Amino acid sequence: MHISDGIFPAGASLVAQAVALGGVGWMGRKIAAEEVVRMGMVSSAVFVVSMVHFPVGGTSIHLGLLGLAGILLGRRSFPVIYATLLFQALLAQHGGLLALGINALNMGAGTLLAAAIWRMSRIPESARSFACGFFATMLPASLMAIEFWAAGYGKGFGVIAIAYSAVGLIEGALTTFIVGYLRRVKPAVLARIPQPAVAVRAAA
Amino acid sequence: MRLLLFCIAGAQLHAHDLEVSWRQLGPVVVVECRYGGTDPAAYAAVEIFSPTDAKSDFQNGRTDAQGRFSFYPDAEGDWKFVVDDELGHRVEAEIAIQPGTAAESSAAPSRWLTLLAGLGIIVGLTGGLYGWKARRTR
Repeated sequence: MHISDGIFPAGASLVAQAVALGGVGWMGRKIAAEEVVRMGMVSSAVFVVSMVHFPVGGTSIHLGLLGLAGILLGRRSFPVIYATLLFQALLAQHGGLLALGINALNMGAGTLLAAAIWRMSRIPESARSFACGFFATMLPASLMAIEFWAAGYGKGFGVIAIAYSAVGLIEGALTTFIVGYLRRVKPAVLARIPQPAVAVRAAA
Repeated sequence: MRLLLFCIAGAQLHAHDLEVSWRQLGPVVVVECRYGGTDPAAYAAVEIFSPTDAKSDFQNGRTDAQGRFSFYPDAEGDWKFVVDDELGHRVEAEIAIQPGTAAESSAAPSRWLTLLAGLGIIVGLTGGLYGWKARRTR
């Protein structure tokens, strides 16, 4: 899911980079100190898990924990995903630097979708967790397939759908397990951290 | 022109964790393409460009089931090749071929070292940002 440089035109990549940086600025405003630690932990987990590959049908796939990032961080997941992708591109050449904006928009959309699904409190928690993991994988994969189609590149939607459906199912199961574990041992982690403005009003 | 001996210089390159390494077996260059240095990039599209013609490919085709391909350079200079699995993983690399002793690409940096470096940076940045935020809130 980490697209390399040289696949999309430089102009499109730069526009995506500008939009992604705008998103980072907007969704990274007024971060509370308490949020920073959680963001760092999620970034570390995403960084590590993305480095573990599995061979599937001649290609290689890896997990991303995008659903978990959306659940634990909400909109803060976007700047975290951007920063993690930057480190991956710089240290492991995992995804291109020029394509960083496109990758961040694709995967950031997945985490934001997970954050939205997580707020649907009428759905049982285990089903929500699974949906977060599954759709946070499938949305970026679908966006990537559409982008490949628009660029006239790649093996087509079918191959991507098959490869990432497997990842989505594993992500869904893993997210359900982690959320269930956190609910048992430290449920406070699953609660939203009050934003600075809200905290000031509450104190007043 | 047939070169008897080649000297292949250049560092190992990798993109989107698609890593390529090469070595010379006589006058033939053998390239291996692997994801994260382990899983073979099977049947990926390959294009090879000679130093004398950067526009028309000298050879094209696909990697084998083990992610390998080979070619027989007929000139000295920088040979370029592009490997693309058509799923977003792409790498471009150059091999400098000169008369001399046989050589092969250098070893890739340790995966664990990269992992530790990344974690170190993230933890360090998190600590720094937390300290800065906590001091501002006080």
